[in-house]
Amino acid sequence: MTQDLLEPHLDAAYNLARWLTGNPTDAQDVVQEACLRALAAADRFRGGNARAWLLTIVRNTCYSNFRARRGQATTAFEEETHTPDAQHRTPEDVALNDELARDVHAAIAALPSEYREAIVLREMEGLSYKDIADVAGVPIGTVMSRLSRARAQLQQALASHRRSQS
Amino acid sequence: MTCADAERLIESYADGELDAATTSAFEAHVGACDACRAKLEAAQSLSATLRAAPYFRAPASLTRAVADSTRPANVRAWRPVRTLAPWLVAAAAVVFAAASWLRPHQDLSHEAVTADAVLSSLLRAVVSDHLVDVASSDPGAVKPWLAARVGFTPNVIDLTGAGFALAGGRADYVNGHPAAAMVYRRNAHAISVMVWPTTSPSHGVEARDDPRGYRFRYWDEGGMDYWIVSDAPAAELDDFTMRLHAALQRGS
Repeated sequence: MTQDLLEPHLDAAYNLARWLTGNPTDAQDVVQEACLRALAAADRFRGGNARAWLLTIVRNTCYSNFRARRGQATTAFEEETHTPDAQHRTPEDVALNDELARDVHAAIAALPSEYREAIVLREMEGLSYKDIADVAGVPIGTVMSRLSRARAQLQQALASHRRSQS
Repeated sequence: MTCADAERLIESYADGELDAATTSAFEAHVGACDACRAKLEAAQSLSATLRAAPYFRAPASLTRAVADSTRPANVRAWRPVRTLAPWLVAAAAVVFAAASWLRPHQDLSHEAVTADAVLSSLLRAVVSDHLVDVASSDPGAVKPWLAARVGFTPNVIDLTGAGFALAGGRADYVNGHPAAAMVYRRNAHAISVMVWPTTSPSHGVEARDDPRGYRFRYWDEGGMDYWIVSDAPAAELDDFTMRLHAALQRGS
């Protein structure tokens, strides 16, 4: 495991951290910390799926930082992080201008974090059930049930959009 | 395949997780069953809708920062010097198995600035012969004295059993905020421990050397930033650090 092995997976790492922490600043802190941990633990990486391995560390870093902060808002998305601000428009703000994107964002953000991480890893990263199970540290059956429940919740939240699509 | 079977398989099929045989059986059923096909289409439509969710790419500043902080020279795990007695090394391994996460170098300049400030405060005190303002070997006396002056209560540890006598304490400033200094001695060299509150999460011990002959050991634990500075030899400083770090983690 070297720095070169991490670089192709920084987007995936940041995306997961962003969805789990709910804001760009924490997500960047998490990714930096996770990369250092990945290199420090390099002797434990036995080859194979470097992306899944890094995402496991990202996920664990997110949760251990949640515990360290003890109750500060982390899973809740603060309004200011996804309300477009004319003076500080970032690519994120521009993307969220689309109404559907905003609603999908909000629906995913409203999921409990274990469901949210399963959905992000499956729908956005295309990880297999087995890889999701490895990242989340749970059995495959748990992954499947989390995905099921997450999807049921999302179906309901997005029902109005899907009707208008057909 | 019955409808009940097919329904249970819809998500796995849409996620590409079914084996070839089950896939064929599922597709055959769905081809002939409107109800199940409608459910499959609903699942696939949800996946399509979810693709409207933003995928957050790493900002360029993050990519650069990761490249900078993970360059090999910057990554340094702290290990006690080998000249420690074997039982100490074993104990240290237990202590530092838990504390071995590297501190993220999010802001190298901040650590350099803090090291400088800590050393400056020590040298200032030495030069003005005020290494300690309260001279006492009793943590019970030093602790309230410091608390009254720095606005927080430092944990003053008794390490007499390990041969490190508490010489006393001093109220000081580091980076513009109040800091408590506790001074210990075993041999010729004084070891200063500077403490102040922090909002950073707990981090494992890190090491730095100053070219003027001083060594630093520093970490965050329980809402406090700890900086040990001394011109003691590395072996002695590591012994001290290990004991203090362990005592603080125990909450003693």
